[in-house]
Amino acid sequence: MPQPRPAPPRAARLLVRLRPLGERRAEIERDLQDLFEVRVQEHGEAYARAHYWRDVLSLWRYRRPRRLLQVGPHRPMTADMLKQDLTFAFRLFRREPAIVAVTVGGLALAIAVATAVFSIVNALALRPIGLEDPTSAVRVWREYRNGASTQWTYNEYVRLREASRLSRVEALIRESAPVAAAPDDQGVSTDVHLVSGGYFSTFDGRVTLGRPLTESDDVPGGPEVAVVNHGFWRRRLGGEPSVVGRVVYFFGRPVTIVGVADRKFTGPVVESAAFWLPLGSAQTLWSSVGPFHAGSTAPVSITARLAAGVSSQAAQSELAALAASIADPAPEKRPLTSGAKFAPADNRGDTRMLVAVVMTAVALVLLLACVNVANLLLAAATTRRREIGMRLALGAGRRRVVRQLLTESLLLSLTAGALGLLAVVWVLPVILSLVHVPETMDVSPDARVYSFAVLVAIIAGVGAGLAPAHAGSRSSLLAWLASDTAHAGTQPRLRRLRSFFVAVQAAASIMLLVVAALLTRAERHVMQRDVGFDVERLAVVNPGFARGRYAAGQSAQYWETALARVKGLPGVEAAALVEHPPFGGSTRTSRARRGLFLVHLNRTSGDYFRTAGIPLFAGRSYTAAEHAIGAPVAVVSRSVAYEFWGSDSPLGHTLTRVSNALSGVQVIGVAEDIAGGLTPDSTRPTIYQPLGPDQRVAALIVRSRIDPAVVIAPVRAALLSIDPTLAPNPWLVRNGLSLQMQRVQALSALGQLAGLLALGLAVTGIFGVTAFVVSRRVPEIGIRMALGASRKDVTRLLTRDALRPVIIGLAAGILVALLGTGVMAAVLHGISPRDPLAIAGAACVLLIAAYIAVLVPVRRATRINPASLLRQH
Amino acid sequence: MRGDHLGEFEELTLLSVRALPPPAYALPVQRFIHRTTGRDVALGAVYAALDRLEQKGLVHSSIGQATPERGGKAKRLFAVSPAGTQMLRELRGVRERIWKRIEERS
Repeated sequence: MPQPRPAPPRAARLLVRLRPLGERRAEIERDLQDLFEVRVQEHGEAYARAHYWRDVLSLWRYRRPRRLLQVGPHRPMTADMLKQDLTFAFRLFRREPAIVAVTVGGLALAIAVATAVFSIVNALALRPIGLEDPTSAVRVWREYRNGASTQWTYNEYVRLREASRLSRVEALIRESAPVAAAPDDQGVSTDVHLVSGGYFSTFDGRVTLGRPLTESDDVPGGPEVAVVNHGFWRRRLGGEPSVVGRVVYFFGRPVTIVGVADRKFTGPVVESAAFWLPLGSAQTLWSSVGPFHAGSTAPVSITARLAAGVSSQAAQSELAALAASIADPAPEKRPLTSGAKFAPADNRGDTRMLVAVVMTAVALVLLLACVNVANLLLAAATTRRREIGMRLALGAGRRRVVRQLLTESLLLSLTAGALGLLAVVWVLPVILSLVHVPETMDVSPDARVYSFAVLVAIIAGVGAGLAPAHAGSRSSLLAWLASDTAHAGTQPRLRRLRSFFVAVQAAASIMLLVVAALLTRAERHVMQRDVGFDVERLAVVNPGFARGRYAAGQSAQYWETALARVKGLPGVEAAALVEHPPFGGSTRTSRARRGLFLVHLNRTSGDYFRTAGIPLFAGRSYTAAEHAIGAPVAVVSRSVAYEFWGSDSPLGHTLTRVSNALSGVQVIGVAEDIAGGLTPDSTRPTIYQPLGPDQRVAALIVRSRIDPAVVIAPVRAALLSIDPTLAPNPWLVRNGLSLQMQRVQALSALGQLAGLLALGLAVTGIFGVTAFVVSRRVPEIGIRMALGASRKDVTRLLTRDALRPVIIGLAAGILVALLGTGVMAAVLHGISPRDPLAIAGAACVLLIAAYIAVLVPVRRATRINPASLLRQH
Repeated sequence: MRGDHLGEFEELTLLSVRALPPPAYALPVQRFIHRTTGRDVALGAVYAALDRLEQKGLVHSSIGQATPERGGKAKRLFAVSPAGTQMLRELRGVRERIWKRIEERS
């Protein structure tokens, strides 16, 4: 067996490849190899390998003299040659300035959209929560015998904070409240975090202006102060430094802004609040929270930060032991605390699916734009076949030709990238307005976003340049020289590549179009959905009864007065009481006797149905007397009646067959089902019962004759006139509904944007390729027409040739879409992910657009006189 | 005139080109230096020296015929130019004069 020949070190050989050597590469590599072999013979392999390394490194060390670069036959890539390449490219591109502009513009737009979407995805899913060392922050769950909850009592919080040595414990309550510039304004609903005094110092909450909240703020009846979120300050409060000291109003009460939080600060939560207020003063603003004094059983949630160098395990066991030892008196049959466990403060869970779906769409858009650039370069390379052939003949290496083509594509893509980054400034707000990202979220691009954009531009450039460069350099020298530029467009290899590009574009764009069509269908479906009653003119006011301030009987008295006053207001058509207002976000359910049937339980006053506009099919609503005493009567919704009585009338029956707990309750009426949300399966089978004497849980629902937004203020004033210490919180039912609709609309708008972009890019590509191919086939067209083919025949031939790859790509794209859209089921609200109408519609749109994109250049080519066509060539 | 100074290694390279039977190219030059001085110099240094010599007009280069033993790859061949020969002679003269003085002293 022959000994394997010793070979130079691989890594060193790689290093040689990296060194730009120009035309001398072959010579130098050969010299290195020869020298290596000589040394192996004379001094042995180890010596030869070591010296090979030295030789290779010496190539990097010794630069060749400058002047030599410009003279003599051996010229590596120089600035001059780059300029030459570019001049060629520009000259070529100038012939089709529109196509070049559209191609580069398309890529720029795609990069801008990709960057903007990425910066939102970055903020939503990728960027760590706004804390220094976020891993040391945890949310503390309360464990009890059969489960766990985030709710602790304030007393437990105080005792944990005092006793814990291994972590710093802080309390947090998340609320939402309308913030207004004037006491009488309705204001905009914002997220507010009510926090303990040490919250900012524990979680490194810095401020860019003013001061953070401190322990001295968090005392019962303390100053009503707030720190505002950076983004909210910039976008909603004018971004002026004078904001410190300014007064805003929550529920009509003044709160002074003392600081603006650092841009990045979110606290140990994913979504930042718009305002942070100290717990102590908050209890006077929010009647529903507090009181916060030692021994209070008011609910709070607890967050903690591990002390430096303490393991999460140790801190958790310490808090668990402490929590078990407190054994707080249980408010309202609350199970005894048995321990504590940590959950990461960043509770976004698994966002990989979201990121994957969004980034796939973005990648498809980028792919479309890249293929356009590739097409352009391919056309350029084809037109330059002669020039490239000449270069090869004169001794230019293929490497050199490839490099030249890659340089051009990189230049195009980097130009597009730079334009794209500039365009992000305009694109980002557009996309933000579509997706309703909260103002408090910091979506400004960070280093990661910029690196993403640069990376995308480079990948796009190399990706787009690779195929043409490969095709351009691979064919044999002879083929290059023999080929006539005029016929180059019909070269089989390049024609196949071009058809492949068109098919890829058709496939990518049909996928995005199908997604857009599905989302649009879902939106239509949701918008047309009948929620079962008229929501337009309904407003709800939560009275804001303070905990324990009102006795049960007092509340009934309060509501009696309130209803009388509100009904007397101009513009009010009807008013009623309800425990869980529609689209209010709360409900109470009970599992019915029969399997998995879930019933919603609601308590209302008798005129609720008339006020809300829910039709009664049969029977009646409860009378005022039944309402006042909470008589054992009930109105059931249609699906409850159908589920338990079928086609029989439930009137007069008791609810025993629904649930034991409702055994003595008699059905007196049947009402229409109403929807709890927008999905078709959101119908809520409901059992309505009278409120009874304890009406503290009730909210006021008002039907107005005019726009309910106008009625809100006088209604609120009427309630305040009864008890000025309350903080009534009004909202519109249609807003509750539109909050749910916003998501649907946002998704659909995003889908349409992606679809439109995809369609535009694909049409550009198909148009460009067809125009190029047709222009190359002009002599053939001339011959055909001279031999008697009609213009129609030629048009048909050319159109068929051009559309074939589109149809192949379309079919492939639909196939992939059919397999892939299943992941979207959750956001389609009942529209099938394989909805034939959406798929057919998308296919039609693409086909029509492609047909037009093909027909325009084809007709232009066939309209010329055949004689002149032939003469020309 | 710029570039009239010759470094020690450049001189050695120039001498090697002169001493070698034509055609001389980088690899034989490197081997020659190794054989005569015992210094197994780096190939890059030889290339650089040859380039500098060419820049100073002391050697000429031409593209040689592709020979089968080189796998058909062309190589640059070097020959000492008249200016190079002149330069070598001057250097030799300087050295000989100095040695003469040294020998006279001792």
